[in-house]
Amino acid sequence: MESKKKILNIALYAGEIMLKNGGETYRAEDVMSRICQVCGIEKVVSFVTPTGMFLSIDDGMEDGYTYTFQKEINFREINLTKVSEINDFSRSFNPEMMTLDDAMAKLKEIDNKKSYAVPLKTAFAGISTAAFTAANGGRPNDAVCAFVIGMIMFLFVEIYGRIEKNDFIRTLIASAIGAFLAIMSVVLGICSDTQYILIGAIYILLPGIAITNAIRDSLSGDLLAGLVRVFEALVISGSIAIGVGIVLKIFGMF
Amino acid sequence: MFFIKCAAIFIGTFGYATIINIPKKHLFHTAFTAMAGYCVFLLMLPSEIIGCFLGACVIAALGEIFSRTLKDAATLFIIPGIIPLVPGAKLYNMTLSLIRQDFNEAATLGVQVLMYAGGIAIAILLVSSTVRSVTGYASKLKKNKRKGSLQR
Repeated sequence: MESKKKILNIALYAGEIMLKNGGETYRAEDVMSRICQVCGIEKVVSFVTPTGMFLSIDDGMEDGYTYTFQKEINFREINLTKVSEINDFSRSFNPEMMTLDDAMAKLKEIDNKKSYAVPLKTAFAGISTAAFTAANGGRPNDAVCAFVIGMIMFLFVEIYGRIEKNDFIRTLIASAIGAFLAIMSVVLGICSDTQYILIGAIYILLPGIAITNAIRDSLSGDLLAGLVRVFEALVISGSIAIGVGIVLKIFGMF
Repeated sequence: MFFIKCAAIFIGTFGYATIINIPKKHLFHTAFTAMAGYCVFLLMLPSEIIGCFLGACVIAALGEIFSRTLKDAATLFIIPGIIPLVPGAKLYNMTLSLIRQDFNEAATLGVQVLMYAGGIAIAILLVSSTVRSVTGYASKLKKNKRKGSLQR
């Protein structure tokens, strides 16, 4: 009894980390069923949507028990290192080699792992924006502007993300800031055109994870999760367009 | 020009991969995947949609190869890989023409954006499902063999 509950907790926790940090839905289902099956539970049903998950186990006897656990996922952040580590964990987990308490401690360790330092990520956001600007036909002075603008946009995304978890508003304001700074750089005479800077700057806001996961989820039969992800991608790209559009419209009037 | 663009894509994807916390040991592989896909896109250039499709095919294939050789999830390589192929410039120009109330232009660009995104999606779908069915068949064969030997 007690250990069954522990197994369920471990499986749910692993699935939750997977889903929260940008793993595909079917992978979270896979991880949960695999952990339960390795522990000797034969009948496992896991059902995961991007906003919540269900896990049922049954001992297969006629007058036995059935347990169902649920967990909701309210917000998501992106840390693919954790996804990779949970993936490794579920493949290597074996109750004969590792006690259940140790497994729980291992999961907690993975969950509390820090991502890359914010200054490092900010610098790379700037470099990334500058490089995409250059690849799309920007000149060196455009790339320099894009470097600064990309860093500012990423800092905003990072700081706002700690206050509130709302992708739509966050992306909208970030892209509006980007557009405003790009127009300012043209007004100040550093660059000639906002176009290349903005094209480079929106790359770091694009919903790459939502798009990829939508495809891979629908491919593995998880149509509901696929639809939800497609909608997520549409909302985010819509908010990029709105944020850039509003600022360009306002400054276009002058 | 070709090499400068490829180098810029490599650096840009490296940065994007850092932002979304790809594990340290895979950073170069992801950037390489993206660069290979973009090279194919550039080589096909007069027809951008074919370039998007074939580039995404290469990215998905490389993702599956790396996921087998490095024993990790294929998405780690595919997510940053497709970012350079996303038609950001078209998206921007579509917004611009919407603001200028040039709805014909906006509709044309919007349909193009959707087609490119669809091309990328279909490419990943095609490659991943082919790989999955082939490996699924192979593991089924293996299982059957094992069962057979047990019965004997």
